[in-house]
Amino acid sequence: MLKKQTLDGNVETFLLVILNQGPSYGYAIVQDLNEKAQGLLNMGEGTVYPVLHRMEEKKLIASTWRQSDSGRKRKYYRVTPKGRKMLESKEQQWQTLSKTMELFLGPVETNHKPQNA
Amino acid sequence: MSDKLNKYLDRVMVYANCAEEKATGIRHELEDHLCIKIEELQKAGLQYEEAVSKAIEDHGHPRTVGYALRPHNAWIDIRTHGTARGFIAIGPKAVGIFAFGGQAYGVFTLGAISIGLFSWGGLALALLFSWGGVVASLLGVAYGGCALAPVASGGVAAGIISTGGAAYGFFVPSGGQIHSVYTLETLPTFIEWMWSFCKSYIPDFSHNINYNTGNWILLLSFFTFMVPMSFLQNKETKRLQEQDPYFAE
Repeated sequence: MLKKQTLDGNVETFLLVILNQGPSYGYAIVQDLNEKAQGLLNMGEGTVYPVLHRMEEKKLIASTWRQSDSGRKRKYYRVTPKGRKMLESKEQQWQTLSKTMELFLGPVETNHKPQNA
Repeated sequence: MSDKLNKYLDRVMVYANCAEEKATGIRHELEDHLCIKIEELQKAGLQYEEAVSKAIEDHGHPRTVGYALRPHNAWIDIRTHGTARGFIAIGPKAVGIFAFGGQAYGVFTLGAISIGLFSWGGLALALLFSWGGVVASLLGVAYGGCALAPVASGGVAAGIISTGGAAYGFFVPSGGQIHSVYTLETLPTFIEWMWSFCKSYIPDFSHNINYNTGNWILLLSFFTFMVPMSFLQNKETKRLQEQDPYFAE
């Protein structure tokens, strides 16, 4: 079973991946996040906003207010060059880590069992 | 917008406790999210009130959301639940330069369990100085009911130099039941140097700061720390009690 902290610690990366596809707003981001996480990420929807705000403070993403079709004000987020750079770095780290883990544990698809089990 | 939704957002903002301009933006953003969610749920067949309840439930407890919206590592962070982080941190778990709470971690810490550079508390573990019930210091001085440190003083004390009701150490200048490896005449140079330092500056050992004066200094430092921290904690608890009708839940 995957530890909750393992996923929580990577929420910023997940959000960068989503926002790298194009500007988006809170509700749509949460929907994309839940869809991609397939139920593995068990966060209250409201707790995504603090992460977005923190990322904005770190200048990984930027935001603009626009008027929505319903007439409500809506905040759109987009990735900044700094955010894109971080995402690239995370992708590289992940590729190195996953390759190394595969060498020891085998490919993800196989049900690898320890030899001495 | 429904009254229930308004009250939920009010509660979130009470816990977020941010500046008005920022609060307005956050509130608009959360309101937009919840309104879209309610519309989606209504499309899925739920009645309006049911949709509101479900949207709020999925959004998270107002305290959790509100606290999460607070800036990380603020100057002062006071919480009634969870972990407070800041220059001054007060909460059930507190992490900060000045930390006060059930569990306190930081530089100057005061708590039931207190871990820091300088710690006061029931169980106080410090790098340099600790004072309280069961206390230990890695490199400095520990005063307490049960004290373990290079320089230890207490009911039961153990260290390189120690004093107390029952004192154990390489050198025990005074105490009730004592076990001392060296006497004043046989002290190795390093311990002799430590002893001369203790004699000059540390209460219980010093001629200038005797046992009673030392205890007064320690008590004063404890209350100087505790009184303003308790005041800030009570003030925040009162604010939340006044502004959140479901504070106790």
